[in-house]
Amino acid sequence: MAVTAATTSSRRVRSLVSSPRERVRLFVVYGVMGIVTLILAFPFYYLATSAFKPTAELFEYPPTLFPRSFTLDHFPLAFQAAPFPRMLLNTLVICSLTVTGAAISNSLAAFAIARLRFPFRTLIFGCMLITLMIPGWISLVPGYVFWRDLGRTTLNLFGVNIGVNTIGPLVIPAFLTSAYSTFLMRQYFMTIPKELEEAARIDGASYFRIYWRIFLPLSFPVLAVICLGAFMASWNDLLGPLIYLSKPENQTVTVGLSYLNTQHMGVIYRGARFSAALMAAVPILTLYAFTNKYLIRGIVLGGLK
Amino acid sequence: MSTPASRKRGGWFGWWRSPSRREEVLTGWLFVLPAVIGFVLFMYLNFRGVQLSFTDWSWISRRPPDFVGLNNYSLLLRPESDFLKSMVRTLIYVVFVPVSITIAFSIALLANQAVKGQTFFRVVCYLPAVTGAGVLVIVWTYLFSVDGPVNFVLRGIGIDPPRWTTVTEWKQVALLLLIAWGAAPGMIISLAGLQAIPKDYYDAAKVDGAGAWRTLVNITIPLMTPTLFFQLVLGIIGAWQTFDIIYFWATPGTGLQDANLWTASVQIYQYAFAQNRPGLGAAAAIVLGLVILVFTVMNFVAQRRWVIYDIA
Repeated sequence: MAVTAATTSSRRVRSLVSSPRERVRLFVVYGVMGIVTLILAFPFYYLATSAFKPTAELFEYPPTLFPRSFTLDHFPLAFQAAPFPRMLLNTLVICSLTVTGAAISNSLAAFAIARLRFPFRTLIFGCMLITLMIPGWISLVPGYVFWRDLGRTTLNLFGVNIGVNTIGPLVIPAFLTSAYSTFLMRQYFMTIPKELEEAARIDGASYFRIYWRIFLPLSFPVLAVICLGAFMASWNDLLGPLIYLSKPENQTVTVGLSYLNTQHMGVIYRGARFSAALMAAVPILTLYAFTNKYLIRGIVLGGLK
Repeated sequence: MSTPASRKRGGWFGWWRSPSRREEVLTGWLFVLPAVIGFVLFMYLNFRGVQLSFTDWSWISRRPPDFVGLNNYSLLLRPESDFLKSMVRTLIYVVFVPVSITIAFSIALLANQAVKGQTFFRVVCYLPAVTGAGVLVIVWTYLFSVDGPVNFVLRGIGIDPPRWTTVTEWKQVALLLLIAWGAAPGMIISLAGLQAIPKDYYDAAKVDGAGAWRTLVNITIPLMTPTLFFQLVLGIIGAWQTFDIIYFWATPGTGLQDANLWTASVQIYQYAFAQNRPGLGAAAAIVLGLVILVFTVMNFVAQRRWVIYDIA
């Protein structure tokens, strides 16, 4: 199979290449694609190499394209400025909880809105879509007041703070759905044939069972996009941790990067800054390396940014 | 939609009598409960936001907020106010949105060519969207530093490089270059739009002997206008709220502090937290929200002039 496909496609390419017009087109297309790839990829190459160049080499002019020497000295220096290993762990915890919340809450709501008939369904869906038009900045100050007061209340009543200075304000909202993700899932659920669930109903399956055994497995392409999107948004979130978390040991890596900028302006910190940026970038780029297939295919499918 | 059906079976509470319908309704309400709680909370916060925008207080003081009427708004809308200046500055990013869309569209045209290696190309194009602003700004600061690679290339082609990291205007240009670079992932949306165009149109154009340029102008671009409009609306809403890269690039404490680069949202953050004037910050957020609303409405009004939904 694979062999046949390869030979036909190479034969097609050869026959295309044979036309001089086509050869020019291929040359131009590959040329421009090459330049675009170079421009997009170079900052990552520059980051990955600079994090391991000794300070002396970092200040060389012209800048060395291929590093001559290798050092790990910048990482301890970065750890002095901010507890990055701890911060990476914090970020991972927050991201995992956010993804869990987004996956559960959005798929349940979307299933109900797409498939179940109940009073106020359309109204509830309409209300969710309205929230998309209100910028989050309006709830910045009242949000802080709310989580501060809620945290004090839960501390007094139950002895647990879930408000300011905990991950509560960053994680709990993910369990309360996001209108965009629910909308995307609802659109996808609408395309699943009704016969499947009708057969299951006749067999006596509960609605939760239908959701769990039929809709959730079938929704993998869109669920993957929502989970990956939630993970990346949470990993790169700046404003949330910036205002709701205050102690360095509770902070996320994204905010940690700004710690390094605060008092560390000296020459020796150039490499430390690169190494910190590398630590913040590698986990999310690794995830992307393994999942880009689902992410990109899913976005093209659903038109999600 | 659901109410008439349930009424037919015996009024508002008809569903309660049939066990199967009762299960459906109760399950439905249970499943959307988190969404309803989220909606109520969000709306409550927005109403509180309006309320707090008429008050003056500080995070430290234990006194309840003083009601000051429209005072915050008159402070914000004075000709010399920092916020007004930051709004004008944010307009730069709003005006830049069509440039970003053009970049995304051009890259999508490339990614739609029938050549090998497209999967890899798309993966590379989406990279900027995966990387956080903090990482990008650190790399950008050094790419554009006096002894950095960008200046090396510029000197190589005989251009005397500007001071990217010290002069406000050039810092602004470097930021816009970062935004242009970060526009590449938008190609995924454009590509989805391009692939939704029926092949028949291109076949017909070929039969009529239209060249590549005429096909692009007369078929591809008109058929892409709904996608371009979608990108424009979302792009402008997002551009008004530009925050992360400016925070990392220009707030006190970070690398190149420069209040002349602050956008509206950075100014709101500064009012609300760094300057401890949450009432003023809340009012500024309301103004920003209203401006975004006006721009969105304007977009929807203007679309009638250029968006083509029905080509046949």
